[in-house]
Amino acid sequence: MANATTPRESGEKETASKRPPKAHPFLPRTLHTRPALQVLRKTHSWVGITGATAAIVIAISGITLNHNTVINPRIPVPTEDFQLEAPADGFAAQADFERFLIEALEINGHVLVLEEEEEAMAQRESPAASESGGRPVAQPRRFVTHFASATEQYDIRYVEGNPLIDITHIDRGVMRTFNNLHLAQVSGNSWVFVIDVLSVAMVVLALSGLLLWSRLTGPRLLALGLATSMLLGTIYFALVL
Amino acid sequence: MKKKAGRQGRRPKEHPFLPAGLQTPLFLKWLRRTHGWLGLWGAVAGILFGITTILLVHAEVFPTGDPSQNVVQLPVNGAVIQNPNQLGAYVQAELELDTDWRSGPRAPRRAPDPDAPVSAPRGMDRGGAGGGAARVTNPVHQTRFLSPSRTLDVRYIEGNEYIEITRTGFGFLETIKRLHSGRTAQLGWLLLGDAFSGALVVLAISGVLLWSRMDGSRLLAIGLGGTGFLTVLYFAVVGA
Repeated sequence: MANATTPRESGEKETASKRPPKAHPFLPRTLHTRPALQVLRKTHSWVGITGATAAIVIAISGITLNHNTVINPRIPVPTEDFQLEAPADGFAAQADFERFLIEALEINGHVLVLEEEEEAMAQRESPAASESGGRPVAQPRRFVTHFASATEQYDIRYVEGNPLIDITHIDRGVMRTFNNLHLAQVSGNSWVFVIDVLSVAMVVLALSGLLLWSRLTGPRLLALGLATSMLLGTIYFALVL
Repeated sequence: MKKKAGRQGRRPKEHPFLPAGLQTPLFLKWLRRTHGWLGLWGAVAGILFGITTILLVHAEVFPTGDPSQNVVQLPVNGAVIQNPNQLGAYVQAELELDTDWRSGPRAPRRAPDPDAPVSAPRGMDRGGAGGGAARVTNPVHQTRFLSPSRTLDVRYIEGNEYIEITRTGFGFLETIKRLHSGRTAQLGWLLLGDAFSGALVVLAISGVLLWSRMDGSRLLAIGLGGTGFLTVLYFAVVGA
């Protein structure tokens, strides 16, 4: 503390080196104007306050996803089995089957999840013969589909001729919902748009934050060191390993 | 503004989202410092995660190229390898790898997952003779070394002279995407990612607390912040 220089002293030093130190060391000198700073500050503040909640959700789920193998098995998955009565005349095609379920289960905004193996099975148009034991058994047509959203998932199976459609409903709970929002794999376009905006916002916040970083926070050298440590850490883990 | 405040007997707070009791110069200084230092430290990660999110979400728009693959044979030189851990340790030492191997108990669920831990098929001691040669089903040990830029799939059949290593290399864009997902990361990067996530929460909260009237009207701030909150709440409840 005894060695701390007063603004006047540091000002004298600056005069000696001709150029005064910048209040915002990472902001180019040409942008060191009041309007530019105001725009930067406002951009940072407004973008920041809008994205604050999403950032918290994404950050929390980031940690749980990072340690998915440890955390995930411990989160219970409430699963419920129920049945729906199938229409008497069955389904002409997979599309009819899906349309019926979308209406009956009030599926709204869910993503239709197609899994290769089951998709191929679902698309099988004609009954096939299967050998079970020594005798070939004629197989009825089987319909399979999955509807998923960040909060829930329906796994649906129906065998032609059965009066009931077999449905498994999975309630993902808060943590898994956050994880799915983070991954944006079973979300509609609107959430994907939110994620896109948030991603751009992250970049804008990081850049404007860097530019706005001021000497009031601490010494520039430490700042450079810290920012570089993250950069070097990223390069090491991305390229060296 | 001051007159209005005077009439109400209370000055409007300079930082409208910071509780009045915390509006002390010391607390504000620490809040600003925390925000400043954490933000500066996480800036590079913020840019990285921001860009890679778009690459990941719109993978069909931003193709990252096919990975390159080659297979090499590593001689065992008489080493005793009887389980995936011994296999991992041997390959790590021989190839001087910085990464750790991963051998999971579970097999890939449906489609083969390039990043899933592998399980070794159960070996049978000896099968019956077939054709001219004796049929042997020796234990097969498998493990993998994962990192964002490459994957080494290691496979060794007990009794063989060579360990087969399939190396899959990824391009720069695919590498940073893999870095984002963390599934292939080493512990150091996972911890760094956790620290960044924690920092993001602190930055969001301290940013809101630091938000000042200088930035604009409080009502607009509540409106925008509320919109962000309600949007997330909507998608978390509806999930669509």
